[in-house]
Amino acid sequence: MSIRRLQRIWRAEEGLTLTELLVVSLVTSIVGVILLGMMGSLFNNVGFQFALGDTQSEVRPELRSMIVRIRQAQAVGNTAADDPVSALSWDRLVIHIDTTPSATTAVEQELEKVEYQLVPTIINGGIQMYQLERRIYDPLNPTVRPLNYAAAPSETTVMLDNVIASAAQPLFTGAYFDAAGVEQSVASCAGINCDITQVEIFLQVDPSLTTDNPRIYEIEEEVRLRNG
Amino acid sequence: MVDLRTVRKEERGAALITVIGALLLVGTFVLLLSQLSLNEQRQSDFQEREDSTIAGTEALLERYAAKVTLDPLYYVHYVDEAERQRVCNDPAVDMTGYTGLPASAWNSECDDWSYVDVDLDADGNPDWYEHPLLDANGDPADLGTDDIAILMEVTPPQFDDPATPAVDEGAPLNVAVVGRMGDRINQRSISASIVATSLSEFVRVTELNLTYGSGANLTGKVYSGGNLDFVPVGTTTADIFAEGSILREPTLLNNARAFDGAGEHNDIRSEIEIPLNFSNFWDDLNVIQAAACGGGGICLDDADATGWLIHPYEDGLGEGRLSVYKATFSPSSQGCVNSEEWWYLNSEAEFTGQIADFNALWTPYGDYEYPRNGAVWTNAHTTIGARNQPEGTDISGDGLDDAVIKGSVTIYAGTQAAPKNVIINADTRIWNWPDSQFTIGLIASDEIVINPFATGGDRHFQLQAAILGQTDRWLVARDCGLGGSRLTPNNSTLDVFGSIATKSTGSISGSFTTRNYNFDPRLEYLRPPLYPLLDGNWRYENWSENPLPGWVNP
Repeated sequence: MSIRRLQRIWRAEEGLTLTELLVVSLVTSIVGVILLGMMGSLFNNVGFQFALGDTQSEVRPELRSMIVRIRQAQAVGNTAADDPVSALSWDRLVIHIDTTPSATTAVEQELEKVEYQLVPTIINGGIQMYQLERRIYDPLNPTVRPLNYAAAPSETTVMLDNVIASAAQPLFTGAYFDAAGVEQSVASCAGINCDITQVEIFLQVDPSLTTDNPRIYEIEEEVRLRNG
Repeated sequence: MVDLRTVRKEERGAALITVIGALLLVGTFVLLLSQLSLNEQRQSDFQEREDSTIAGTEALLERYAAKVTLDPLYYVHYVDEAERQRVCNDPAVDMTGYTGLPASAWNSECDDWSYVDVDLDADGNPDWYEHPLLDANGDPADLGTDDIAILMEVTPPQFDDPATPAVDEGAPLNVAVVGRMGDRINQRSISASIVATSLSEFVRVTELNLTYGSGANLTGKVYSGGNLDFVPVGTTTADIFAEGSILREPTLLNNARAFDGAGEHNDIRSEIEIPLNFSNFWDDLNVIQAAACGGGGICLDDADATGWLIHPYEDGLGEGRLSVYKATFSPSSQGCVNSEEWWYLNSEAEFTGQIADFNALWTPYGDYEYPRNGAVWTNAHTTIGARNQPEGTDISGDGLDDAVIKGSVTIYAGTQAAPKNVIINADTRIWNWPDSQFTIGLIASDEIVINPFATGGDRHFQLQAAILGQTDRWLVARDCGLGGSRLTPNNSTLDVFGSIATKSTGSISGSFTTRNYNFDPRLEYLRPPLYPLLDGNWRYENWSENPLPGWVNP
């Protein structure tokens, strides 16, 4: 098509035919829908990335503090809990550590019992959500061995919300190496049966709480018990 | 009529604004996402540096633990390269002002010290140690941003007082390590006690059944590969273990626990992973032989030697030494005493009154410092202690010189293929016990024998050692060697402070009226050099991350 012909069409004042209008509308609609979809997807992704980022920022320090504590867990020296981990199941981990190494009082200088426990909150889209709580129990009498602990925690902290876990996808798993050097997994244990050397953490957090497109922040850690 | 040219120009303007708006929107998103990514990256980098620092710090701790496993007294032999400068504070030894720079030898008599900063380059800042594997820029003098630098402090083991077994004053070797990456702020501090579970941590180990008789009051751990029985019931302040049953349990004091394999007490497997089998110790014993003969120890391997006598003593300068004598003749059977049993009774160059005109005819062979690796191996029956040699001290006051241990040594006689005995021929005492870091391990590939004539006029035989009779048992010689009449004076007493491990049980009770089998509490935290380990490795106790100590500059 020549430029002159285009100039003629431009100068023409006959208007547009219905067909032309329909075609233009159709094309515009298609392009609009695509653009809106892209924009929606972009907003959705950006929002989710922000949510993931926020979740990661929340999870990292909590996970780090948990790892630091688990790896230095110690046995309290009685027959009921003579290993660094005194109880483990998919939603619960009990260890003993000195949470206040700079402390001066006898109670604070001794090993405290630290319990990590999932507490159910809401069901979202058929998935049970949990809070991850940290509970610290003080020894009843730090000068008497073996140590015994108060029934009620002296401190309870909600570490994380919207945690997803189940017996099939456990938050905590134990492991040890048998005499042949083969790693053996331990799903649950208590007391003297908790002779494990490693704790594995599989943390899943749903940052969006959307049921239509749930995307979950996942992180795995293996923690070797230094005193195990 | 509308001027379409103007409209077209205006549309150009609208398009520009639209495009700019869109670009601004997209740019904002990109900026926000970039900011988010940067924050994430900063967090990750920080985390990575923390992880690298803790990994490097722990690596140096493990390196130190490995050294201690090979040389249990490494901490009193050397000031490690990564340590701060030591200053001796031990009032028991005359070492006022004695200091030890990193990577230098330490005087092993001093076991109480403090630390000061090292600043060899005089730049006003303490010097940190960079291990070559953690020195990213390859220049140990320049602390690069990715280099991991370390400083550590070592606290020697603290020992229980044997006089107060109920009071727990002991503590194992403790090492505190601080690591940093370059000049960054994320420094990490960890500390741990390094423990290697040694055979010498038990006051008594047998592979077969073990029965304690009247008045057995134990202060150390006991292990039996069979059944364990206390007749009548005694007491113990430490855990007891039996692979079979504990037939009669002693009174368990101070939270002592009983473990068995019969399901009647705590499960023995929860504490001792695999049953102790003396056959498993041969590998450890081969290592001692290799360390003695190829690793800087003392290797007594003359083909014509029929016996060796090793006399530990303190010389006039206060140094611990080992005087060695050699015998080259082969005794024949005399009456009811066979040629092997002859050594039990005639291991001293003296007229014993029992077998006239015979003695070992020792000839001086050499006078040695304690070997750095603590390993001594002999190829023949080996006598420990000389009661009447010129060098020596009579600490026990029984008129006979004692074997005085002022160093750490493990003496191993024979091999699995050619088993030899160790004959204890004198009171064997640790210098400055129980405040000393020195230990002695006596290992016979065959049996451990006490020469009854070493009891002396005080009717007390004293033994401060960890002993291992690999093939059979430990015994006191009688006038027919293994059998016959007792040769120890009436109402004699055996005082042991140590650890006794024999495959079979002993033959002691008929020769000593009173027998005191005490655990040397130091052996809970010390082991004689290269003495067999139960699980072949060291472990941590009280591993913990700590706040930075005050001497660390931020």
